[in-house]
Amino acid sequence: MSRAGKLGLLTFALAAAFALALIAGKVWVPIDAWTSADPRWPIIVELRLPRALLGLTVGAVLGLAGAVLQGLLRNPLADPAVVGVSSAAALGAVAVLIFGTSLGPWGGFGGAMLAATGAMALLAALTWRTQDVVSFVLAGTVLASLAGALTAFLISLAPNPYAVAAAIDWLMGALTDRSWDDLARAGPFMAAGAMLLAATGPALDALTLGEDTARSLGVSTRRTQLLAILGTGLTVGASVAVTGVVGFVGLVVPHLLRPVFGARPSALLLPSALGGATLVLVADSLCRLVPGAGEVRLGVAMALIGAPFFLWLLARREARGWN
Amino acid sequence: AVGERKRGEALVRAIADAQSFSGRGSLAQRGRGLGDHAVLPESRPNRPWGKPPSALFFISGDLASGAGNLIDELLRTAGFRNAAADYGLSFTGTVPLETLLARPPAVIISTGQGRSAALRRRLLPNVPEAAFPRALINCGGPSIPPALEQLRAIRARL
Repeated sequence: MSRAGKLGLLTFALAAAFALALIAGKVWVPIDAWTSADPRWPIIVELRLPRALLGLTVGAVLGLAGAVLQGLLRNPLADPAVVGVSSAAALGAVAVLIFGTSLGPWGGFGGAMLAATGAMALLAALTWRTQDVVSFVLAGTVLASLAGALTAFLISLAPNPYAVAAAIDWLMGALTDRSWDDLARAGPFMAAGAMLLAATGPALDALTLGEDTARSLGVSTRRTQLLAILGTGLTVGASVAVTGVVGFVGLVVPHLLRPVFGARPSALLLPSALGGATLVLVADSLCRLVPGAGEVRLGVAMALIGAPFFLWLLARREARGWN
Repeated sequence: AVGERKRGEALVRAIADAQSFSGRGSLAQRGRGLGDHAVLPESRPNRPWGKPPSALFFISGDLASGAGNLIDELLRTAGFRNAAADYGLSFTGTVPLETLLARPPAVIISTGQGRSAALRRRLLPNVPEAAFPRALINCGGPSIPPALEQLRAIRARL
């Protein structure tokens, strides 16, 4: 099948997942409720539609960021979490959840974005001198551990058990009850970041030949790294700021699509965005469909889907290698 | 106040007085001696107007509690049905707005602003919302009578 055909198929899967996200849930909203004056209409317009659009964008940027980082670091283990941005954004949001509840809806978002930007700046500064991907990964991992420890510390300082519950609930990541406002807040940051990430494509292809060869082709590792850091920071920071931490998408999706679209990093960016969006929409629909009053948290569902899948990939790798 | 038996008994009496309905075993009898677990009676028997109205009680932010706890008993004693229990919430957790929209409660009682409070008010403009001081439900004991009073006042306004 041609690349266009495969992309068409992936787009169709995404459209189907989007439709499922609008229809499925505790309340099933059939297609005919869309045209009549159905009382379930607000559920679609005010809850399902912004939620599905947010799931689509969050999934797309997570998949894209994962593909870029795996290309840049030439390491199959890379995903947005290794850059430390999601942990930092989580730290910022938890700080506001626990100590700044009076700041209103922009407070949590601002806190997360501020912390994500701080982590990005720190990472860029730490890796500016060296052009070695190992120090990049190490710096990101250390930042992630630091942010994780500080988050746990902040939670331990919470003034009451409800604040602890809210923080932990938020850390698990969810798209539940996200509104148009959330989409409007995070959307511009995710779009800007996605453009930066997409701009790394050609450089990533050159980097597959090795850093020295890439440099001789006129590719600046430093510039590519900076684009990746800024792009990941904006996209993942904004997504964590509205949904909490949703892992596995950036790790699993590029791996899933690499056998289909080939190992060339730039050829994997768009499919990973489409695939990430599809995966998050399907997972979020499953979250809504569990029996009982509440919903499963998206971060938890993602891990439940992602971990077995990744282990299966790992088992298969023995026979076929990563590409 | 360990060893303050008289004050303890006075407290139990106050709680019993707070539940204005007489009838089945009052709390003062059942709860005599502070070691006993205070069990409030079920809601008023032979209610002439049918099913009691449902109330969704947000103990904090977007968190509500299902059946089998102090808030549930307080709600039922004050003449409400616990909407969170109706929705099937087993312990404390969040209730998604979709569930609320499909089966709106008669009243929402909240102790503060949850993340989704603004969206909820926009989607459920006709469901009244009552504020409730959280200090009254942090645990049982002396706060039960004023908590019941508040809930009854909310109930009376419906």
